[in-house]
Amino acid sequence: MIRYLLADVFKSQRWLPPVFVYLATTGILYGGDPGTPLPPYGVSEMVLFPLAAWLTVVLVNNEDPVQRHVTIAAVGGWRRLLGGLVGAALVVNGVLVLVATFVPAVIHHHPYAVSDVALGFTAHVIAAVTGIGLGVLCARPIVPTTGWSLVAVVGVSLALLVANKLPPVGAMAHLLFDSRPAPVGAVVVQVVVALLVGVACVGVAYRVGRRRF
Amino acid sequence: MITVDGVWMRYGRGPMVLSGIDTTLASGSVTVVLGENGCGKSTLLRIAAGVTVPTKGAVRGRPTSVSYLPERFPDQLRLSARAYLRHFARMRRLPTRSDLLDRLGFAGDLDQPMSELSKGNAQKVGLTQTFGSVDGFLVLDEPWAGLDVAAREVLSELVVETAATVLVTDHTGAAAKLPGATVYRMVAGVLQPVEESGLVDVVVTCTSDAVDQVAALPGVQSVRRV
Repeated sequence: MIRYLLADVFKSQRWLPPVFVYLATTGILYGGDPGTPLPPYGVSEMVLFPLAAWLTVVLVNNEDPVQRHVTIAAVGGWRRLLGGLVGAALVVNGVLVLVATFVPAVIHHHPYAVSDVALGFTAHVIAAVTGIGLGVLCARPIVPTTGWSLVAVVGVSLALLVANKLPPVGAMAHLLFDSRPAPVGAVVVQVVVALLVGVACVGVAYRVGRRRF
Repeated sequence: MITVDGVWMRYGRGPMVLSGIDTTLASGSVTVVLGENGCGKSTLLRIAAGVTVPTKGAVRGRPTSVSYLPERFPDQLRLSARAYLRHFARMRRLPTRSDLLDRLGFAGDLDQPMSELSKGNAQKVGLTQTFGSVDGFLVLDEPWAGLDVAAREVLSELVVETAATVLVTDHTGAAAKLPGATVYRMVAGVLQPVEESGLVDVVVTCTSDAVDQVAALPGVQSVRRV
């Protein structure tokens, strides 16, 4: 199922804009001299969050609405299909997480300690998981049209940006911006919060979505 | 056996579309639902296929993977027919039945996007995807519509041949001719069995004298001049 969903989205090319925006932003971020490893990781994490949500919306909304009925019947219900969509979103966003974590560490002349890379990786996973959660809530069948989905994703992301240190994405970024070393306990808390938010969003998408087909 | 158990359905605050459907589909049987446009046939089929959750009631005994053919097969699919069939066969853990395409008279490029196929050919790909399953549950919404005459015959054969449980709607009259099918008519949100009347309409072109002789034949119920 995940292979089918990925093949279909790959053919559509709608995945290109969010990926390009992400690569362009991080390109600018790392283009000059970004300095020590952690603060740019924080910025790149905050950028990844709305784009992970956008990518998830693209993935969920990609199928033709009538074809979606055929697929739901074939895989055995909305719950299984939603699971497949989340799996596909994890694959696509996982690639972005790996690129965002390891490319800067490889290309930059600054020394990246293993702990820095591990922190960066954790931060991007937090952004991806939370973004996927937001994405499934802002996509069909909960938000019926892609235009409104985009408005919802941008709106929530801006609100979270203004709220600043809100866990998990904002709080994790601030742990990275801080010049002191990030305490392990605080990072674990953010990971747990991200997982809870992600699971809660998917749960709501299942409960609300199942009666909308 | 698949049981439709007290299914009621309304969309939002709209009127009841289905008002208490109770029926059982014996495994391997063919069930036909007739009815006017917009009477709720498609809604019943989507509920049976497990796509739509009914307002009240449930469908029990449904296999995990249901082969559903929508009334209008989507015409904007980007995958090629070959890739589409391969992916769906894999999801169902079944072999791809490309032989069905030949039998249905598919004429098109298997490797171009399905959006470029004609409506009839796309429908044939949809049918092939559906009949890939040999002993499952097939839910077909107006499958005969939009097919050429030869393909309609083949489709009727396929429905009779398959070991799967079939639930089908139709307005072309093809389904009523299926041997051994249970036929219902949907009226006001409930299913009413259509009794086999045992009578057949025959059109005969003859001289006006012969009409009286035809009317006198044993077993002739009525004669109507047109």
